Amino acid sequence: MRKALNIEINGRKQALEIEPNALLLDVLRLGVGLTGTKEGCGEGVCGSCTVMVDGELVRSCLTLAMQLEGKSVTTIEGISNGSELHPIQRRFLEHGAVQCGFCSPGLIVTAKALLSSNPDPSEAEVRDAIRGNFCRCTGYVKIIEAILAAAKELRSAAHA
Amino acid sequence: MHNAHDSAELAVLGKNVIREEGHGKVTGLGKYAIDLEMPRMLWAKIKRSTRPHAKIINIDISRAQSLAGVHAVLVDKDCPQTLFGFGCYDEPLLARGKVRYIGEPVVAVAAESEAIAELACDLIEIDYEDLPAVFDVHEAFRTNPPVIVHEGQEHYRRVPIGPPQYNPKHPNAFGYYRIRTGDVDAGFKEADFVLEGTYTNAMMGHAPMERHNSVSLWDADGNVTVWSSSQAAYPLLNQISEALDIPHSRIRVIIPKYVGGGFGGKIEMKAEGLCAVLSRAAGSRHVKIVYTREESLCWAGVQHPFEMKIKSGVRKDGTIVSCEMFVLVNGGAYAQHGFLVTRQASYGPLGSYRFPNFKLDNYVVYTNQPPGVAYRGFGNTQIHFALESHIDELAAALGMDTYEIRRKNVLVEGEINAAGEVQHSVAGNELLDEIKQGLEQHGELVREGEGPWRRGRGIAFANKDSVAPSASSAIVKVHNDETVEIRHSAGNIGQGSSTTLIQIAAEFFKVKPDRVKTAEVDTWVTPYDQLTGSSRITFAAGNAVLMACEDVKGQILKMAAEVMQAKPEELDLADMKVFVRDNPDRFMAVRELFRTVFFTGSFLPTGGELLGKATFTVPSSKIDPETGHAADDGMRKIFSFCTRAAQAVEVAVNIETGEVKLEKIAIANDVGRAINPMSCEGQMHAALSMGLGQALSEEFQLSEGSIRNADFSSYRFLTAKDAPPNKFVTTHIVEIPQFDGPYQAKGFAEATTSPTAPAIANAIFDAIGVRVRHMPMTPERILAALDELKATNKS
Repeated sequence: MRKALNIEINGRKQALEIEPNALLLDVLRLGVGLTGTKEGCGEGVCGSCTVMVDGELVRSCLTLAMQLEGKSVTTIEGISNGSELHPIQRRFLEHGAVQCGFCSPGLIVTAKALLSSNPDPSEAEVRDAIRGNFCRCTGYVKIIEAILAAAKELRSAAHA
Repeated sequence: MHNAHDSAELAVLGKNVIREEGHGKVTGLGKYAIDLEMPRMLWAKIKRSTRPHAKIINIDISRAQSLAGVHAVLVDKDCPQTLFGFGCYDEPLLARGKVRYIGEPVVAVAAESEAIAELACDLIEIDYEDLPAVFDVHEAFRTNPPVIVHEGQEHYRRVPIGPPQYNPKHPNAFGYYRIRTGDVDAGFKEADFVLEGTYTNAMMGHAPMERHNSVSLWDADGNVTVWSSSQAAYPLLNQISEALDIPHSRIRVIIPKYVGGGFGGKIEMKAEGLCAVLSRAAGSRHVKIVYTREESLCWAGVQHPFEMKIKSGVRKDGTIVSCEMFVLVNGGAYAQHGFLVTRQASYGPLGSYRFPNFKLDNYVVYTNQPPGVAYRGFGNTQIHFALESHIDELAAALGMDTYEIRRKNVLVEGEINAAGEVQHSVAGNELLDEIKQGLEQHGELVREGEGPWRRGRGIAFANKDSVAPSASSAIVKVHNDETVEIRHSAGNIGQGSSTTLIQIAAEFFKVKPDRVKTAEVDTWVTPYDQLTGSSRITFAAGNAVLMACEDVKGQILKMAAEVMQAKPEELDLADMKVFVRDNPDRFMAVRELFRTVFFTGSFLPTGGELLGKATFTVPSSKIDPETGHAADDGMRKIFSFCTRAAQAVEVAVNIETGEVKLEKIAIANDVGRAINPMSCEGQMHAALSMGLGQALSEEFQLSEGSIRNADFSSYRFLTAKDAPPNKFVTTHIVEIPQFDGPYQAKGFAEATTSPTAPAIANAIFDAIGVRVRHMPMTPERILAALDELKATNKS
């Protein structure tokens, strides 16, 4: 029996009809067609499916969508400003922080939340923030570089 | 010269060009195979064996078939009665008569949703009669083993490779390789010191972040189309052909531009063929399958566990005079890549060092464990863990510096190695110099850490050969807007191969890289490539692309010559302008060639296209199956090229808990020429993800063929918190030109994971004086080794 869910996704109001046991991940990927959010493990361990709900990070593979009535969800597709990349996204590319790219959406969303609450993180704080995001390719060196470079850029933009 | 031809400004080799598919990856808009949805598509699930070795007595699918939403249920008899493989054809699509490992596919279901397909699998009842099973490689290798995993192995179809692969004396061994050089016994007599050691590794998983998945369609015309997250389009096409018994001409394989990792685990066919059979059974509907994390981690192929016995003799000055190796590889229940991994691993050491006398026997053996497949390094991570640990033990026994013993034995340019192969573009001492300087720039080692922490440093070297013969084709099209399209079937699984090929073509045409793009891999459009594997794409595909660029350039010059009233040989091309070489002011733009006389628009006046095509092939010498030696045919070539890697590490070991922390690392690789240094560094950082995991934590806990830690919560991945601070990670690109590489470049991405574990093992020895001869070096194993050391010291 489907139920009504009113939810905002990337700034757009959506009136959805979903199964009460539907996971946020499946609603995003299969229901709304936002496939940028990835499923790596399906058990909340790898962080690939990370999205923001009212600014807080959640694992969409463990979140029941029905819990999110009236809430606002931001996925990787909502990070850039139209066709203009967010500095985190641009820095990921410029620093070679993207290889297979499958973990990138979760990492970029996680980095966005980190930099919103801590605009000037240390390397250790970045490591701590992304410790729950598995990446099989990059060894994290360039991901950390990219996040620190984006933080710096965002700070100088804020001061300008 | 016309300023448009000023190549200095446009040169794109050696530049950190941003990857072609990067935008789609950081925005989430790029579609991986796992993101594809087809109209009215069905979902498949596989019912897998729960027994390591058992006869199938009965399969009851009736309840599954009558479940609403189920469209097809298949068992072996519903599938083509073929056997497929990768050179040893031993595997049915679904278990035939008996199951040989826990996780083997037995029944396949297609249904309206993944949930229904899963429920249907639960409703299937399989009656088994258990057979004795064999897991231990020694037991399986015996002349009269308790269990034969494949009866009738001697009748299997095989690709001939080296010595006979089936030996009735060892009926479970399915692959064998041997190398014979000089006289090892005489060599041992010459030696001042002889050392023996046995080294082993646990089974580990590839764990690509995008799980194995595909969509298959067997359409009404009898054509099979497959969209897959595979890393090797043409090998997959061939395996589908073998398994379904239909010709290549009826198969189309499409691999999206976005593939979430492979590491060797996506070379062979997974469920693509099986889902095609489901598609036909379900009335030609698209059938999608996404492996669960457990299936992808454990049942889609794993890394082979090796047991490596090494006996070597050295002179007092550290010169190796003799070496004997005996290797047993636990191949699991099906051959898959086993015998090729065995062959590659056999030659690995011979690319590192000089062995005047050498003897190797290497068997890969069937057991009732999950099948081993290709894994980044192709057996070289295992063999170099053994060899580099062993070299360190020799150094310790001789009281010799660990760099010096390697310098003494490492191969040099032009040398003929112990398999009679000429060594080209050799990096040896250059790499050792780099890592030494890389680690020592952080200052002297401080051995005593706080409390229970002890520090030590270690190094390791490694070689990885790239397969030969090897072939790659490319098509290069120049469009009427003067952009270049590369059609090639190299799977870009994250390593960035598309951008490497783009930079090669952009350099050739002297255009900016954003004017070059690659086509999606589609075997109806993009031509043959052997595979994304063996670190071969930069070299083989790069050469093919360069040759196709030459071809299309010839067409452009010929066409322009008519317009410019010149001879083609007087003309040259740069930045999409054709000019007279001796008079560059006489030029025309390539776009001006597209002035059609037809009414269809801006095409070539003659019709047709500017379409260059080429195939690059690397031959190999004839190999003597008795000795494994390359024939002295003027070429002396066993592999396409070799890549070398070295790493130096500093570790801290906690003598109370056994915990090991990687504190500093210097990573050096020979790359021929760095086409994209940022990409090269990215590949080298794999030492911190796959290499470090392999060294310290990653292993499947097996019990009677069952994997106890089949998920990401219990299979211990290393995270950002486990790697050292960035300032203590240095990468060192060493450019020794590869004489026959495209712009002297070559691939290297496998060699980079091999030195990590032995360097760490050697650093642990340096720190606490214990030698751990098994990967991964977990806290339990470190503590056990410490206890053993204490016991020895007491007695």
